[in-house]
Amino acid sequence: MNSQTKILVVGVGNILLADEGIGVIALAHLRKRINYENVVLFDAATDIYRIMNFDECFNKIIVLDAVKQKQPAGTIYRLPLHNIEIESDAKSSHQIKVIEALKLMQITLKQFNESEIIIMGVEPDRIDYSVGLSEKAETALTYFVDLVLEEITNARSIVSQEYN
Amino acid sequence: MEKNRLISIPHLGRVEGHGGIEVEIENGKVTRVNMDIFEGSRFYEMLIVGKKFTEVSAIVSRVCGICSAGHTLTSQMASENALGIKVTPRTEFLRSLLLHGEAIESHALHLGCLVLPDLLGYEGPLTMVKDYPAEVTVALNLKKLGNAIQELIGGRAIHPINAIVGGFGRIPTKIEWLKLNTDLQKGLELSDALVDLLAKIRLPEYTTHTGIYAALEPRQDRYSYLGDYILTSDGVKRPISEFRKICHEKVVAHSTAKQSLYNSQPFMVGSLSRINLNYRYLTGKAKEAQQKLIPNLPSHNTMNNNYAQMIELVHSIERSLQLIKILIENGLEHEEPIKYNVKAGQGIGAIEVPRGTLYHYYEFDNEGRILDADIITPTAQNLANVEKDMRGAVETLINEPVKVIRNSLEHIARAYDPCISCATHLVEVKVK
Repeated sequence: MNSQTKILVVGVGNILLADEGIGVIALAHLRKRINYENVVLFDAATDIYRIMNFDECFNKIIVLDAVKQKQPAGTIYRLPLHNIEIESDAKSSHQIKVIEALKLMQITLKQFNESEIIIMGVEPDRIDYSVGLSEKAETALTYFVDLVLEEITNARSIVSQEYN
Repeated sequence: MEKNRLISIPHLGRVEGHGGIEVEIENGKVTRVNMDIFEGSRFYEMLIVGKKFTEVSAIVSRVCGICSAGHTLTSQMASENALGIKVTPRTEFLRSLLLHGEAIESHALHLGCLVLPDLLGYEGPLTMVKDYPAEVTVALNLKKLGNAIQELIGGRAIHPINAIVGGFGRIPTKIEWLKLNTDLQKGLELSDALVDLLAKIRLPEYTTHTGIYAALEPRQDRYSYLGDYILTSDGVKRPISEFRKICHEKVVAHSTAKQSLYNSQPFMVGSLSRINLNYRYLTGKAKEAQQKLIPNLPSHNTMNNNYAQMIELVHSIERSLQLIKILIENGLEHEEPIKYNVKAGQGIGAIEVPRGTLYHYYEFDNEGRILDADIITPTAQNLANVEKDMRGAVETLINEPVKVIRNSLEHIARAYDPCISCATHLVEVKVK
């Protein structure tokens, strides 16, 4: 492991809303599987802006969330932030979205200027007031966590190569 | 102009099928105004029934990402009320600080990233930042400051674990307080930029009807988010144990959330209500901001809730500085939380959170397991008043194009800062 590699993995979502909480639940699974000094696992719950309180720079930020793209429930996504467009209806009464918040922080806060930001998520099946994932999201969860681990591992090796 | 129109703003929240505004106009008259919010009726209560009171605050803190400290503390105060626990002055100070942190972060985000882009005609903060980089950055830094206060006192950035029934686990060191003190001083200076920008904007006035306002009466004649009595603008003062007289809840067909009425009338809670009822307690730069932004009080323009949030943001920074000074002067020795015996009982907790008064009521058995609970959020209390304001706005603008009416409805909804964002955080994306 390269000691200079810094990765922030952020779980986002509300665990009281079924599949909406998959990012936070996946993060809890990751905690049981890895304990790397330079990989910070952070539960932001429903407030992605909480990552502002990290003053250090991260090479990579991986945000775990429910992602809705009208694909079959359980579909897993890997979306680089720079490839994602903000919805055109941003002026409606919607509160700020995760993507908008990440882009805003990347522009305005110097510690995030150079970070590579990746959204990894799962298409939800059920979002309602209940605790626990739907069957389809639960089935996707193990593979999702494996893919996040792979993302972490790859990032560490890529950054290591760059430093070498 | 068409005489029959249906104006629909779906997806006010981020979950399809939940949340939104619908207005129906028939023969030139407003026949229906509905605002739905995504709040599961009795869901929170069902989540905690059967759980021990010591577990409950951690669960309810997940209800809302912004108001997690408020839910945590209100829950703990309800349990303490049931068990007859009286906390120490230091615990009161720390709780106040935690709530000031919450107010700073919530108001900064709402004003800087939602209200200002809206009022200045931008699609969102990402487009506004191109022309107003300093102001957007200030708003984010103030939010960060609010987060930092909560992180220091609550033990972590979100969902505080250091706050427990009877007190706090760990108290920060003098070095940590002094660092926060420095950050707050900087924050107070930064807040000028937002006050100045807001003062340049003339807020629309869609309705001017005299409303009913409710808020907790601050303790010790000081503007505060803690109190033992509920004040209403009709001059009545009640102990918080009588909260159901204020929040007489009714179920409505168009929403999963219940609506609250006071004497069969809609009422308002939140920053404007607090300022309207308690502005005489404001001091320092907060008082100056009030005189600049809302010189004539009480105000019946609910759009002024935006200004009221700015005034509270300044107050919360100033009061945090005072509280840190008091805490350091009183000594930072370790203090054990109050010990207690578990017994059957019932208790109520009430706190002014950023969007208004939050109530938690619990009844538990002799092992401390929750038998019954009632959680009334500010957004649910405001819902009937939002609809009243929207109806007034549509009646005034009835001959205007739909776009104008839609904008007014969205402005009104946003001014109340309804807690929709907290409920859901779904990412909806379009990939290039």
